[in-house]
Amino acid sequence: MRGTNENMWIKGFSKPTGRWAGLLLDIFVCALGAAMLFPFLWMAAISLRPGDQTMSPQLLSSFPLEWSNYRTVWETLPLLRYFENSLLVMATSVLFGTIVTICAAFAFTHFSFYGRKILLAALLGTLMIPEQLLLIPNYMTVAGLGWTDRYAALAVPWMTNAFAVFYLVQVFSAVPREYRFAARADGAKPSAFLWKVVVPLCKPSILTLALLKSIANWNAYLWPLIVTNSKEMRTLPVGLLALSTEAGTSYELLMAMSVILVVPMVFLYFIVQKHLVQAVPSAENLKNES
Amino acid sequence: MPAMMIVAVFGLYPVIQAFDLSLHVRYDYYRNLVFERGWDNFSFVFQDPEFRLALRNTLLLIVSVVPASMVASLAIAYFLHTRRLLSRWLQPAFFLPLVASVLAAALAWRWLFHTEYGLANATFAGLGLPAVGWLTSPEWAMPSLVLFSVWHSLGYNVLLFLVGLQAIPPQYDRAARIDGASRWPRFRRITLPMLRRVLYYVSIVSVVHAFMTFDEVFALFGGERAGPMDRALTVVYYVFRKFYSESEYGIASAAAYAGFLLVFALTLVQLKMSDRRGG
Amino acid sequence: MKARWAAVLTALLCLATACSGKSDGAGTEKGGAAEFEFWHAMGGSLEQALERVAADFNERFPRVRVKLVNQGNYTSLHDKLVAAAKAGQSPVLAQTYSDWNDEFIRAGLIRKLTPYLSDPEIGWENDGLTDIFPVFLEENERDGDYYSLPFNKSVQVLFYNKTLLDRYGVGVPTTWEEWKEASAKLTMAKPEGKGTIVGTGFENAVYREAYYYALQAGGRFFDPESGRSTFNTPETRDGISFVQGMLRDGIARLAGEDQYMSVPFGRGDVAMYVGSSAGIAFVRETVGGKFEWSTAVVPKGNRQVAFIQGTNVSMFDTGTEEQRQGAWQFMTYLLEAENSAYWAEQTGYLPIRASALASDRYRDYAKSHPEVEAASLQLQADARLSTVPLADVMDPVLIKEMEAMLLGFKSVEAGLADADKAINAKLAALAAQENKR
Repeated sequence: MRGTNENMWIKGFSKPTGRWAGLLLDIFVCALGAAMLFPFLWMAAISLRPGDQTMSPQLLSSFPLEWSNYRTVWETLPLLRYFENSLLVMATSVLFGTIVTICAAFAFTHFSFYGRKILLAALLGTLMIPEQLLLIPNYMTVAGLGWTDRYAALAVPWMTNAFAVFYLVQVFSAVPREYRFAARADGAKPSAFLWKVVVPLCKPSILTLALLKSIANWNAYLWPLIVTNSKEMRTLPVGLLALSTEAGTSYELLMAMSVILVVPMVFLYFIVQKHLVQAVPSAENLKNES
Repeated sequence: MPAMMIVAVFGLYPVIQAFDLSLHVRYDYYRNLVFERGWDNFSFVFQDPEFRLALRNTLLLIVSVVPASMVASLAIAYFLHTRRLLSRWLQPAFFLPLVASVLAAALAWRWLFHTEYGLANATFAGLGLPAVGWLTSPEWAMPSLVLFSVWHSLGYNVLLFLVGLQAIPPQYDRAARIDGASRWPRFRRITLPMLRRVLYYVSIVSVVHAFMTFDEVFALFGGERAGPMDRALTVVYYVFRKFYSESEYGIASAAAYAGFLLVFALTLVQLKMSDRRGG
Repeated sequence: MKARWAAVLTALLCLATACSGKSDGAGTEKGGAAEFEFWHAMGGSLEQALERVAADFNERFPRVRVKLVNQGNYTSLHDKLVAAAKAGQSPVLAQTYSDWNDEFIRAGLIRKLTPYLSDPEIGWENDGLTDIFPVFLEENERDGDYYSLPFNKSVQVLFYNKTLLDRYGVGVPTTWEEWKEASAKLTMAKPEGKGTIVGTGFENAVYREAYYYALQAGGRFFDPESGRSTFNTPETRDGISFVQGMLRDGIARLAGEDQYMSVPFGRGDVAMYVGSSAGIAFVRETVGGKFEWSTAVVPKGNRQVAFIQGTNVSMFDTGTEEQRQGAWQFMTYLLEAENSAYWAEQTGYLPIRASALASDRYRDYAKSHPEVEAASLQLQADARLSTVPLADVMDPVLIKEMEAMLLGFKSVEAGLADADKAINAKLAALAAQENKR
């Protein structure tokens, strides 16, 4: 009996009319998915067009495909260096940032200290000031610290992100109280509790967070532009800017660059996807472990 | 733990930045030479019809994009969650909008919306509907922006909802199923409440994000005007324009601050609501 | 436990500070050579041309080194300059628009170039300055001193689709009446395929160019004596009405959602358009080999006006004297006739010197690329428009009113009247503030 129920749960509705509706919905969602993909198809298509066909409305406006756009982009910009920089900055920033965020979120959820609510509200507040306005003062601080044109300027400010902390706060507070009491009863220190219980429990969320951080970091162009001057230190998205001028834009080059930017992220997503869809670890198992 | 406190404080480094700026630059003129302090900037901002337009548009955005996006992404996430077979392939599709830069995505949408050559109008023509000046007529500027924004936000929200859904222990749902409950009540009474935290997070973040809409407008309409007759002007765009194009630093900061207070208030309301429902 | 956290934190800080890339500021002394930075916004092939010149310079003058820093596009260049200025980290040399300089000069950030110009050793001889086209030079001078020198200049010209014009027997218009006629004749449904061809196109930037059309119609938009704007005059109304009329009648269009006119022009949707000569390279690309095209001088209204656009090179008041002198040498080198001609060839900008224009190499180039000729011809117009004083006050108002008028939401009379009112109000407020100081 149990087996049949589970089957139904995975497949959908069991009644005949329900099955049709289910199928329709499947098709609908698929169509939606295709709709999501449409801009990327376009992006890739434009990146493969020669200059005089860039703006033509048909999707496949010319054969053969103009792979030379990619070569042009490669020659115009020091892509390898930019790529290295982007990678390095993203890796350090996300790694340390996630750790910091975990600790901060944990501090907010499991300790009640004076001013906690105020701090949380203040943290949220920082999200609401437009980035463009913060650019210059942050730059001044960074310059004052002598970090201009160094990796530090690129990585450190992105390590902390109020969105991230706030997200983890929500996630962590969903951890049932019993675990905490149990841990305390077992005489475990809070840090052990954090790393041995909470983190494994919330692994998918934390991974999601790390992924989102990575993407934001990877695509950031405004900040890296402001704090770096030399070609050696710039990141990939900054290269995008160099491709549009005031008299016009070579869209096919721009799109080629965009595709180059997107591919590593898609790659990253596929790597992480497996872990996101992980089954939630059973509560009892965890308890036994700690 | 004191060590954790240090870490928490470190996380607030940008906060200090933000406040430093707001107070510092609020009435200052270029290069930190304070010639005059006063509430003039604020009074200007509140009387400026442009700002009022921006405010109205931004509120409109918040009210339309956030619910639409949340409902859509929740539905999508739910479908992906319950149809494992398809979801492995569909998930990346919904995730992609998040990854591409707004510029690239906007370019594709500009094509979609092109009055003469765009797919949208072509489809309309096929269905016998009149062509729409999506990006060229003032009436359609905001709808176009809303559509684009919703699309763009789906990636982020779907991902979060999906993870949230997977964190729900399946026993509850299974038990209800065995008891013979049908889909919708199951969703409403079991899934939704367990998603509460994620829901609140997404709603708050979506509101903030909708408020910060700038890149989308810039990329969709080009840098001259925020849509035909400025009809897609948002608060942040207004700030940007005052700051960078017109070098009116004081006014820009005042406007940013005003917007900030508004969103902050909205968020506090949402937080209070989430607290009350038993956080 | 605490030790672990301390370890993590110190690791973090170590990573942050020790992990360094380049650590130059605005310029340092490197092994004897005085190095300085030149911030620009030239991308793609423009950048390559600039790099060639810079490399040549570094070879010829081993005691100074110029370091090119590409800051993206003009907007980001401006942002960076503003940010750097506030942080006291301005580069020694940068590409700037004249209206940016208004602000920078007022804040005392730019160095006067006059002492360098007249320096007995590294200065310019008399004809160095006179050789430069006055129209380019004007905006660099304020109160008798030079604060910058022209670098990449373009002028607005009329692009036209020769194939199309020939097919319908339309000659290239030289006056406004002819222009209107030609536009009307060339607006039609596409013979092949769907859609329409429109006679004339205007860039989206036309919203900022009310000055241009006002001048062409023989009017003035600003009265320096009274310090008030004079948009609401019959001539100006005529000028704007001309453009608005064509748009309203459907024989002209804006770039609109296509962003740049080179796009629909390349597609064959538009027969002619008014745009910057800097767009020539882009038009070459978008047209490919689809049809024959060229440029011409913009049709004359009551006056022939050359609308000059482009940036200059400015020296900021930072760095050591060696760096500044090195920067000056680079400026001199960059603007030499030979290099100016090279730059013009490679990029499509105009040569800034008469001698460069007349040089053999440029003449050869112009012969093989006839589409660049109109640009230099345009320079010989009756009147010139480059920077507009107080543009930062007038522009925001103008853009709004122009959009309303050109899109048909406001009549020309109403729009110009409102523009005048708003601008004069702003000017009055500015004056009041100045007095308070």
